[in-house]
This record gives sequence, C-alpha cells and structure tokens, in this order.
Amino acid sequence: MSNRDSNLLTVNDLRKHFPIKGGLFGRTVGTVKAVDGVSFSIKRGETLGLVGESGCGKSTTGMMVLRLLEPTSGDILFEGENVAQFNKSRLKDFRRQAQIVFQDPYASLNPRMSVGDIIAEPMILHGIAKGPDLTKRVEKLLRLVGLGPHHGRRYPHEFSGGQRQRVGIARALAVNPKLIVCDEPVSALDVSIQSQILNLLVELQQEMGLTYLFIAHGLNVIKHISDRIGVMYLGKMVELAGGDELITDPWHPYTRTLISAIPKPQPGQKSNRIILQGDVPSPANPPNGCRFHTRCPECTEICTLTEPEFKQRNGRFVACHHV
Amino acid sequence: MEIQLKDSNTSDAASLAVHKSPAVEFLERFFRSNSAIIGLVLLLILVAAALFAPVFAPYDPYESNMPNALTAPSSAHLMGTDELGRDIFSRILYGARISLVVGVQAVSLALICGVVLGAVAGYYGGKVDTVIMGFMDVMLSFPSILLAIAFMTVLGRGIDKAVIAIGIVSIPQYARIVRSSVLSVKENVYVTAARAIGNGDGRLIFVHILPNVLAPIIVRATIGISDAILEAAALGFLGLGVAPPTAEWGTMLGSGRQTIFNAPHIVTFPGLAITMTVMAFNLLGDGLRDVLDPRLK
Repeated sequence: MSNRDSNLLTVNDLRKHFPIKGGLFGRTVGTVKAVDGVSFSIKRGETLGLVGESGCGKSTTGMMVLRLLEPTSGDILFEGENVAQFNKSRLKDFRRQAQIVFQDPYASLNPRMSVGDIIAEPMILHGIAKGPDLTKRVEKLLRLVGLGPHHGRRYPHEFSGGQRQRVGIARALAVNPKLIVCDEPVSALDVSIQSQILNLLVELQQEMGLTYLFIAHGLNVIKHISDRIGVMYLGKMVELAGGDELITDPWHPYTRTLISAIPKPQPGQKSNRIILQGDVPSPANPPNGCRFHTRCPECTEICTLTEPEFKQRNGRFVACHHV
Repeated sequence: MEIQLKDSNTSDAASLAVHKSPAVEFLERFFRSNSAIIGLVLLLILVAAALFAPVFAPYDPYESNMPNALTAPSSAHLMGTDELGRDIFSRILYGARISLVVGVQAVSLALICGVVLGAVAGYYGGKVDTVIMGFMDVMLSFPSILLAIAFMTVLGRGIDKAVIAIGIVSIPQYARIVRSSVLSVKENVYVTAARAIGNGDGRLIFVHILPNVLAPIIVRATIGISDAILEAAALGFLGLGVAPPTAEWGTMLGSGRQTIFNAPHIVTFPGLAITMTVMAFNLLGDGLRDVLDPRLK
C-alpha cells in the first residue's frame, strides 16, 4: 500500500461517527459508527468495487473520499496529498479531479435546470470553457454518453431513468476527472438498462483512463467491472482481494454468504445459498470481538473475544481468525 | 442475474414528447385555473385604474367643494362626494396608486429580508438557525398591526414609513416559509451533486436551492400583498398612515366614519375598493398555489 506513484487514492483508517443526540438538552448519548477504520488504496486506471449490505458504511466511505461528508478521523491521500485537510480553495481544485455518479438518477438532477445547463455548470465553475466553446463541449459530452445535442435543451423530467443516469455521468465527466466514485449507479435502474450503463462506464474508463471507486450492494453487478473488490460489514472492511480471486476463493465467511446470494443464471441449478441468522447489529452498539460473530456460521470462542486484524496474506487482505 | 456486456444502446426509451420549457408549461397551467384568471383580471383593472387615474378621474381628487359636500352618488359624482365635497370616484382611482405601491413595496422589502434570513437559517442550521428563528418568533408573538403601530410611532408618519413598518412586521412569515422549504430541499441529492461539482455555499443557496422553493414563496407573497394593503388601510384608518389630504383608501374610511349614518357611501366605496384589491390578490395567490403545487400536477 506504500507505492505512492501507482496509487491514485489511499485511504487510511477512515472513520465516521455520527453523534446520537438525545435527552432534554440534546446531549450526545451515543455514536453511530457508520465507518469505523477502513483502509484501502486504488491504483490509477483501476476499478475498486466496494460491496456490503445496506448500512454497512460503503456510501458513507464514498462520500468521505470526496469530502461531501467530513471524516471523523483518518487520512484520504489523493496523489499523495491529504484530502481530509484541504481548505476551501484546495477542495474546489480537488473537485476537478474527483467526481461522483449518484445512485438515484431521478433525484440527482436539479429539476429547474436544463440538461445542457447541468452539464455546463461544472465547466463554468472551474473556468474550463465559456461561450461557443462551452456549447461545443456540452454537445461533445452528450454524445460521449450516448445522447444527442438536441437533448441539452430539455429538462430532467423529460428523460427516462437510464438517460438521466447518462446525464449524471456526463456531468461527472465535464471536469475531466481522474477519479469517479460510482455510488450504486445502476441499482435504481431496470435490469435491461443496467448493462447499458455499466458498458458505458467501462468504455469511458478505457477511453479516458478513469479510476473508479464502484459502490454496490451486491456482487452480481460489481464482479463484472471490478479489478479488486472490498467487502464491508458494519463499518469495517472484512476482505479485500482481486475480483476473480474473491469470487472463486472467498476467505471470509461473510464474503461466502454474499457470493452464495448471487442469482444463478440457470433455473433449477443447485445453489448452496447460505442464509444468515438474525439482523445486522446496530452500528451504535457493535458486538465485541469480531463484528460478524453474531451471525457467523463458523464462529468460535476467540471470535467473541478479540477483534480480528485486517491483515495481508498472499497479496490479499482479510479480517478473520480462521483464515 | 448475469449482466451481458453488449454494445451500449442509446435509445433507453424514446422520448418523443415535444420539448416544453417550464415557463410555457406554467402559463398553460395558469390559464386553466379560473381563480388565477379572475384574480389577474381584477388586478389588471386595478393597475389600469392606478396608471390612468388622471385620464379616468372626472375631478381633481384634492379639490374641495364645500357646498357640494356629502352628496349621494349621482350622474355628476359616480360615488358621491365626501365631507369636503371631493369626488370619491376620483379619490378612489388615485388611491389605487398608493395601495398598490404600498402593497408591492412592503412585500418586496419583507420578501428580500425574509428570503435571505430564512435561507441562511435553514441552510446553515444549528446556532445560526436558533438565533434567527428565535428572533422571528418573538416578532410573530405580537399582533402585526400592533407592532406596525409601534414602528410608526418611532419612524413617524408617512407613506414610506408605513411601507417600512408593514414590511418589517411581515418578515417572519416569509422567513418561516423559506426556512422550512430550504430544510427539505437541501436534503435533495441534486444539492449534494451541486456541491460535488464545486459550488460554494452562496451558489448552492441561490442557484440550486432557492429556485426550488420559489412556488410557496410566490404564493405567500401574492397573498401577502393583500395583507399589506389591509394593514396600510388600517394604519390610515387609525390616522397613522398617509397624511390626510392624500387620497388613500384607509384614510378615506377613517375620515368618513363620523358621517357613516347620514352619508354611508363615503365609507362604502373605499371599503369596496379595499375588498376588491384584497380579493384580486387572494384569488391570484390561490390560483398560483394550484398551478405551482407539484402535488397537484
């Protein structure tokens, strides 16, 4: 994780704790540990997938990487510089380098702005283009994401979900960024549209040399486009490995259950679906020891007592006592 | 589920609908609302009366004619004459100027202050919000006309002072509406998206949040104009608004109240004028609410 040149982004021990206000005077009565010590790095041109169920902190991690949420502690090194300590003007500069595509294309576009204005705004803000050059760039971006120049005059409500997501991608590309955080960019779309958007993202990556932090709640989407995959559970990363390795040879019991949840392409094919018992524990009061031990089919005594380290083995990372 | 990696297809869903800008859509919906149209027509009549008062008025509104005082409506004096023999119809036409100007100016003042205060309170939250809204609540706890009277005693008499007093008194109403709308709109993903592309707080508030809270503000402001006109009339009636010779509906009502039993037309026509104006703005406001409320779309 130390090679500074090949890593575009390195995240060290990132944490986000939300205070729970309660009582008569709004005292802090507890904290929700949404993200509790996550570390990973992304190489240039790579796609790192981040999976985990709802509430495991994967979106929070993505938002913190872009400083759309302030981290409680931890370092976010982008090209060797700590994003967590950027002031306002450095942050604005950083926004030119790192962008985001949101989950819900119906909510992420301002309904009062035309699509052309939405795509033009980042270029105006960063002084990238103006006048006829701006118009030309907007048209180019629209074409790049598979829309036509005539779409620029329309408003978001006139588009379908897939088309809106294309607009969201064009907006992210407008500043010609190096890193794009894709926060579940296809999970709000129809299955038939999902593959189109995923293909578009892959094509754009190859064309523009983009680096993706790709967040998803299931492995079925992420396994196709990720070079490496990180699995999160309850605010922590439990396993991080190359995409193929992780799918074919998962080490962590939680990863195994996620893989068993991928739908099988042939009906009737025998599946060894592992069904977990109980619910995810509350991140305000996570269990002692291994966070997964309350639901782990392979839990032993040590799991309830000490928290496993997130350690490297054969080039992959895993946090489990039994590996 | 297996995701097939095939060539991306541009036609997610053909949107063949004819492109309509929000402004065109707004006008189409506006002219389908009866109350909005009635309100607009009444308002246009009032504006015409105010603009062309010198053309329409048969007499000088300030010329007294004592022998002719307190005459009932007739063909010579459409609405009769007041206690000084002045033609009431002419005075009402001229009075429309003052009422409309007072209403629009007072609401503009209240709107500018209220929008800024409410947006700042709603956007930043926390202590800023507590301080601003606490102050607004204190102002709201007084009856507005009482507060306006208090301001008038400090500022002195006159139409411009009445505008300031009425404007300040109605700031909290706008601040509250703007704050609550900003609170809900700022949670939208597109606001986060706007931040992600590098917008600062100022642009976030004024370019991305406020245009999306415009609808309730416009509705409130339209109805607010009628409130302001009523309050200006009340101040005039109490002798605190516009100084007497000036033709102002509230003042006309006030000076006519002694003769209400032997010459009821003196108070009837200014009263009707106020009613009509208030109704025009209320109908327009109601219509705009129907047009702009996204839940009714």
